[in-house]
Amino acid sequence: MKKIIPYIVLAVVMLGILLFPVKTAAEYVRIEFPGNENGILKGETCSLYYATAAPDAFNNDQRVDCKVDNDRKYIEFKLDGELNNNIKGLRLDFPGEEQVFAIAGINVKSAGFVKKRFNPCSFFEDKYILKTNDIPETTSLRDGDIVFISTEGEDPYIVFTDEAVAKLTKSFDHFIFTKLVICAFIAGCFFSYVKDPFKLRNMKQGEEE
Amino acid sequence: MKLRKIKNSEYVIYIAFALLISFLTYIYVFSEMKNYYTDYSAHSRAYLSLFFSRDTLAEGFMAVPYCLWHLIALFMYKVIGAPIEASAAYSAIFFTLLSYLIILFILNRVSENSDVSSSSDVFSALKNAFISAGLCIAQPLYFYWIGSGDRYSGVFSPNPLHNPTNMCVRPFSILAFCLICDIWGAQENSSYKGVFFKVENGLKRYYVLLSVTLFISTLAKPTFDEVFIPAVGIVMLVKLIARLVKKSDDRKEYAKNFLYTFLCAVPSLVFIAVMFFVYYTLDGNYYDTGSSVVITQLGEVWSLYSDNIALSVFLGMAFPLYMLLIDTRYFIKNDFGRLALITYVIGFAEAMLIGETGRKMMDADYIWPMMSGMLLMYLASLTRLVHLEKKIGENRKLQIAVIIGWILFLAHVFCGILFLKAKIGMWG
Repeated sequence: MKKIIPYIVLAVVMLGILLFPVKTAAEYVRIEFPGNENGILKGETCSLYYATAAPDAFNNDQRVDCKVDNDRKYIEFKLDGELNNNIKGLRLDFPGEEQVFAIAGINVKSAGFVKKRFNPCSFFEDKYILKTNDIPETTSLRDGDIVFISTEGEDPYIVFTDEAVAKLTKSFDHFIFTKLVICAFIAGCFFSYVKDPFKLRNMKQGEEE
Repeated sequence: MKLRKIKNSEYVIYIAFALLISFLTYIYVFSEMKNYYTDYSAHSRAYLSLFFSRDTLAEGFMAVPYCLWHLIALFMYKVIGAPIEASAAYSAIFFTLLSYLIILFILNRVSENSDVSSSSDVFSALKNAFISAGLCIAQPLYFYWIGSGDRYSGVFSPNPLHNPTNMCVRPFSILAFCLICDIWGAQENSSYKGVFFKVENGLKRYYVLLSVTLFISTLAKPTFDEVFIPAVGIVMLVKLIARLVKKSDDRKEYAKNFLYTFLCAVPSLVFIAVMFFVYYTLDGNYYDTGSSVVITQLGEVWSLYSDNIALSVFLGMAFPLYMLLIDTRYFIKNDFGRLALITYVIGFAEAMLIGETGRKMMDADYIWPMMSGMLLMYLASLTRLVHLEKKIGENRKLQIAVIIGWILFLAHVFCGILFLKAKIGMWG
């Protein structure tokens, strides 16, 4: 009986970790620009509107902004974990400038892991775009996996279709993998202690008990 | 304990690596000083200037009561007459070299103590010098493509190179760690021969040395003592209780040793209390007056910098965690491993539960103690790896396990080199 107790404690600890309530992690949508002159974006701010009531019900209360920093070569929008399963529509706003810029990649990360990477050429296909405003043209350069977007007027934006919205918002992390790894580590340490692979080979600093 | 005579060829190797890390530290500090918003700039230009005249000396002490780095830099600036950037760089080099030499001494002692001579003196010297220099710059694993944040923020580091005061505490923390392990050995076994110090000749002088080391480390930055003193206290208290329960013959003797060891920490504890008083009660920190220490929600401060604390821990501690995984018993049963682990766990708990109010919360000042714990975990893991390497013999599985350990350590050192390159490239 005495020998079983440590195993029971281990099982309880692991179960406790697995059942420990944690908030859903935030999700980050990152749009990357190429590291050359095409990656320069004029203007100060880009915004991502998210609609929770209806696919096109956008308002200023449901918006995340990102300052344009051309040294960084990307813009990133943080969607809080509470928005998981609640986002029905997305609208991406670019600065109100007349310009042509390139997008080299789109990725979605959550809980420190990049969950999905999208080829911009595929992502900006017509089937994923519901509506555009002040964006006369998007051109895909298939060979380089780069999309060129031209904007004009004061309010250039793209509204994505349900399919694109689903692609971008299905990656909120619930820390299940993280919890499993923690449990595996604890179990590994436990069995390492029991097996003692190095037989605590006599190191002289301090007394071994 | 018997010290081996070091050969000339070994000296050459040690000096070559000392020059290398001095050079890296020098150009790194100079590059940091080019940007106003770095810790080196803040400590050199904002805080150090308060120590220049008698009128502002008290204000300087209240703003940074942990002023050892500032005093050394002040000496360089006022007495040697070096410019402020050079003063900062020389001070940083001084403390980095001290860390390097102490780690080198530890590794040499552990190597000699393992009793197996399988490699030449030159190779052994080369290896120990490389490991010591490597441990001085090792950084968390960093993969830009997994999106876990930047090289430091959120993951944190056993060597927060950007922070002069934390780098200043490093040599004294390592020294105190080795001292206490040898003192414990001698307290519990009268025939114990010290691994690092000649404790077999009596403990009095080592109690004094421990007390002085702890005090200097507090003067450098109290973050190490905030975790180390509780860790030592917990280990000794548990051992004392076990003796009392078992009614061991040596329980009175151990209680006396416990008291002596506690007395070593008293000067540091008093100084920490003074620091907290001037810092929080007298609002010595003019940057954000009115802040206070609070218990936060679990991981509240850390979460400001990391989306996944477990991932951050893994990246920051991959090598020690691996050693903990393959040799758990060492971290539970051996004084060296156990003290490192408990120090880290206390630091981790502080990082997860303690913060400051106001703007100071963003500074995450109570994550610093955990970084001292990280360093001790790295050190304990490294010394264990050096020892195991000499002891595993022909067992293929254990050889592979040890090789993976070295690869992980080298990965941290590699990330340290990339960290320096990125930082120097950014400001240089």
